[in-house]
Amino acid sequence: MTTETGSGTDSGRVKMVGPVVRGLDSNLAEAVITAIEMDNPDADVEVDDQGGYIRIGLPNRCRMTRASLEDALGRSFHLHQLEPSLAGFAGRMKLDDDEVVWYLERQD
Amino acid sequence: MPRLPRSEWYDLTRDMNWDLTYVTEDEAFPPQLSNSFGVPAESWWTWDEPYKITYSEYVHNQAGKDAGLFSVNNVVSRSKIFDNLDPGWKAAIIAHYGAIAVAEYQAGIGEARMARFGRAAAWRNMAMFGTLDETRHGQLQTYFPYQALNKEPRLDWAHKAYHTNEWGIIAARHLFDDMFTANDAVSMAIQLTYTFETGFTNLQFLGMAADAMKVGDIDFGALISSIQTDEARHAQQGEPTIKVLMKEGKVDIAQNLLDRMFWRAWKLFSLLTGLSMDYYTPLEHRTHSFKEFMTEFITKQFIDQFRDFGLEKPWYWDQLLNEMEWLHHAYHLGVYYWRPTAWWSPVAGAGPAEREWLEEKYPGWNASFGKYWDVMGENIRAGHPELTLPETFPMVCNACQIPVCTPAGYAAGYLDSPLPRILDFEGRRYTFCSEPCQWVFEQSPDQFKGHLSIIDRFLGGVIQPPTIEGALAYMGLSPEEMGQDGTNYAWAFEGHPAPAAERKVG
Repeated sequence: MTTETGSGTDSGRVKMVGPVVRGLDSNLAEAVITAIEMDNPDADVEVDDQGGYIRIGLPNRCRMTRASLEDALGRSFHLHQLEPSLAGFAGRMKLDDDEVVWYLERQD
Repeated sequence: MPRLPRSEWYDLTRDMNWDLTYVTEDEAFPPQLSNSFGVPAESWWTWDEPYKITYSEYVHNQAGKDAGLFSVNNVVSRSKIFDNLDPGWKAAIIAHYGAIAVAEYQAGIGEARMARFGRAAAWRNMAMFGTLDETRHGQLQTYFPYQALNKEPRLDWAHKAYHTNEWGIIAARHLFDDMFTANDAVSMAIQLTYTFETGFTNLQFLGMAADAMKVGDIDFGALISSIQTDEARHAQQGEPTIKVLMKEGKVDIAQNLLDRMFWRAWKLFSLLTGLSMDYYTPLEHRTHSFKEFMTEFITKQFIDQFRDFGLEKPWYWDQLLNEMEWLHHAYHLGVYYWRPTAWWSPVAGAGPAEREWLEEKYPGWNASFGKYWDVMGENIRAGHPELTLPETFPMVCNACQIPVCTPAGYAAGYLDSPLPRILDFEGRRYTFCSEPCQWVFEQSPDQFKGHLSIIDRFLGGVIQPPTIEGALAYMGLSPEEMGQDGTNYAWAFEGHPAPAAERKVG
C-alpha cells in the first residue's frame, strides 16, 4: 500500500519526467526510447509499457534531440510531429527546433 | 514550407497584442469573461507557451490523427468486437460517452472564450487550436457510439445525456459550468486546462486506454488516447498563466483556483473512473486499481508539476488520501442500488475473484464494503432481486451534487462521524458530503446558492409525481434505458453452482 505524508514534501521520492507515448504508436515509442538512451547516457531509462500507453522516464531531466530521434527512426522527423503520439508527459516540457526537454526544477 | 527555422519567425507571427485607445480595457476584456486579477496588460503579454505549434503544423497533425484513428475504426466497426465486449466494459464505455461527449462541445465554448478573451495573443492562438480540438472530441465521441446504436440503444445517451436532468448529469453539468461554460478566461486556464486536463483527464483517457487495449476494445483505446494527444498540447495554457500570476505575486489566487477545481474534479472522476476501473473492467484485463492510477497520474505526476511552479498541495490533502481508500466503493454501491437512475447497466463486480482482488488492492474491503454485497447476493439467490432496488432517494451534496456517502465512510472506519455537514445560509439549509465540498461552496456562495440539487427539486415539488417513477421520468429515463444488473445477477451465483447453471447471462 502506498503511504505518503499528508503534508510537507515528498523529498524521499525520485521525481520521474519524460514522455507518455500512445500504445498504438509502438514503432515511434521504440525510437523515442533509443533516442532518449542516446541523449541521456548517464541515466537508466525506465520504460513502463501499459499497452494503451508507454511511459518513458528519467529522474528530474530527460532530453531528446531531433538528431538522435532521426537516427533511431532512420528518416527525417520534425519534433512537432511527435504530437500525434504524445498522449502526455511527466514533468514540464520545453520544445524547440532541435530538442525537447522534460524537466522539473524544484528540489524538495 | 518556410525556409527559416520555425523559432526565428514564430514569435513575430504569433504576437499581435494591441494598445487599446478606442475602448477601455474593461470594455475589451470584461472581468466576467476575463478576470485580470489586477495584473496589467503588458505583464500578460509575456505569456509564452511551452508547447509551440503553427497553424499549418496543427492542421497537418490533426489530419494525420484522424486518418490513423479512422483506419482503426473502419476495420473495427464492421467486426463483432462490440457484440463480444464484456457487459462490465460496455457499462464503462456507455457511462463514458454519456458523461463526456457533449461536455467536449461545452469545453469548446470555454476554449473559444479564451481564444477571444485570453489576455495575450499567444494564448488566444493556443486556445483557437483548443477550440478546434474540443470540437473534434465532441464529434468523435458522438460518432463512434452512434455506429453501434443498433446494438445498444443506451449509446444514444452520448448525445442525449446533457439534455436531461439525470442526476449524474446534473452533477457533471454543475461541475463543467463552474469550470468552463460559466467561467472567465483566466480562471479557466488554471481550472480547465491546468487542473482538469493536465491532471485528471489522464485518468479517464489514458488509464482507460490501458484497460481498453487489454480488453481488446481497440476502437475505444485508439479514440481516447488520440484525444489525449490534443489535451496534452492545449493543457499547456495553464503553465504560462500560472507563471504570469506568480510573477505578479498572485500565488494565493492561483492556489485557490487550483484547490477549488482539484477537489471538484476528484469527486466526479471518483464516480466515473473509479467505478469503471475497479468494478466494470473485467478482472482479467485490469492493469491497475483506480487508486494506483490516481497515485501514478495525480499524486505523483501532477503534484510534481504544480509544485514545480511554486504551488503547494491543496490544504485538504489528507482528506483526499482518505477518500481514495473508500469513496468510489461507496459510490459503486449507490450506483448499483439506484441502477434504474443510470443510463448504463452497472455490473456488481463482486464475485469471489473480484472480491479477492479488491481485498488485495484495498485491504479491509471485504469486512467494510463486502458485507453489503453479501446481503444483496443473499437476496438475489433467495429470489428477491427487488430487495436490491431503491424505494427512496439519498441526500445529495449541494456542492458536488453526488449522493452523500458519509455513513458508508463512517461504517468502513474512515470517518469520525456518519453525519453530513450542514450550512444554513441566507435562510436556506445546504448539505455537504465533506469539508472541502462545503469550502468550495463558501468560496463563491453567490454563484452556487440558487442551484437546486435533484433532491431539492424532489422535496420542493418540482418533480411530479414525487415518486421513484416520477423522478425517473424527470431524469429522462424510459424503462428501456434504465440501468439493470449488467450480468442479469450472474455474479450472485458465482461460488453457488446449482442455481447458476439455470441462469442465462446477457
